[in-house]
Amino acid sequence: MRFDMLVLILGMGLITSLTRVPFFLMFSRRELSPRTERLLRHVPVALLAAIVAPVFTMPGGLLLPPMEDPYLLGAAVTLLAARFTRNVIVLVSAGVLCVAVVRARWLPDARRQQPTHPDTTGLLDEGGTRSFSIMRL
Amino acid sequence: MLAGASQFVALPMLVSGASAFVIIATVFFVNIRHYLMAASLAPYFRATPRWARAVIAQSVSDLSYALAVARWREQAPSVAYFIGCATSINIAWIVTSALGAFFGGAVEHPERYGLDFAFPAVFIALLLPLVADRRNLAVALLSGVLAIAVAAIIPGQWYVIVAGIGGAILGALMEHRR
Repeated sequence: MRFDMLVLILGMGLITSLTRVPFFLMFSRRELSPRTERLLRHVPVALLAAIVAPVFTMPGGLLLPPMEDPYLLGAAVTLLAARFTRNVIVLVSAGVLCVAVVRARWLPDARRQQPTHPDTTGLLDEGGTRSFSIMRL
Repeated sequence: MLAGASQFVALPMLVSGASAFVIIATVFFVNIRHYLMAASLAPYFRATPRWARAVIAQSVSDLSYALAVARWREQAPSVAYFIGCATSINIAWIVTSALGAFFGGAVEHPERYGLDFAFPAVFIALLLPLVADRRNLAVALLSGVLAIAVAAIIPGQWYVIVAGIGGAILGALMEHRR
């Protein structure tokens, strides 16, 4: 393994720890004010919704028209399946199957090929070219 | 380092020859959501020694976080449950990464089978048990809409922080007024 790869991996690990450890130590130290407690109680729902919502309207980082966005239909099918079961494996399979069918049967050829990893980072430009300028962060 | 999103981001950057500094800075911004997760998890770990908290914090991830907060709504919060989730996820992450590295090439177009939708579908399945009442639903809807709006305007990961805090404030206000 090259030395600079080692530095990179260690650096990424260190910076990731820096996002996890400080608040974990700070917010467990003493009693929090009722207001903070109330706020923290609602973070899980707010955060998970915030992480996933843009993935549905912008799969691959591109804003698609609703009728050409297989993710929206996949989400609808997953929610529908949730009325019958809470089994995660079943729900995920239903969504995945739906997206596969929609892509194969419905969408024009150009829309079938999408990035393998939904890019929610905003690092991909409109044309799918990557721009890594720090300014975009 | 168990941070899926940052690995997905770092790899193409590495291939295209970005500098280590830029990659590490990007990884930081991709992971800023951990600050909110850590803050909301931390109060459950008051009885845990400081050194153990620093170790446990390393395994805060989308999945371990979502599993633990969902469980702790129904049963008494237990540190052991979080460690159990985190350990299973860690093992699964390493094993499946290795499998992917060896056999991943066998699947030529994963998107043809809708496999890229597995990630958002898992999030729906994790979010659902958390939405127990109208207040939760309002928080989820506001955060979602806010996230989509901010993501369309500001590049990067800021939408997670803005919408996460925005939704939590709405929830706290609704609870306060009741």
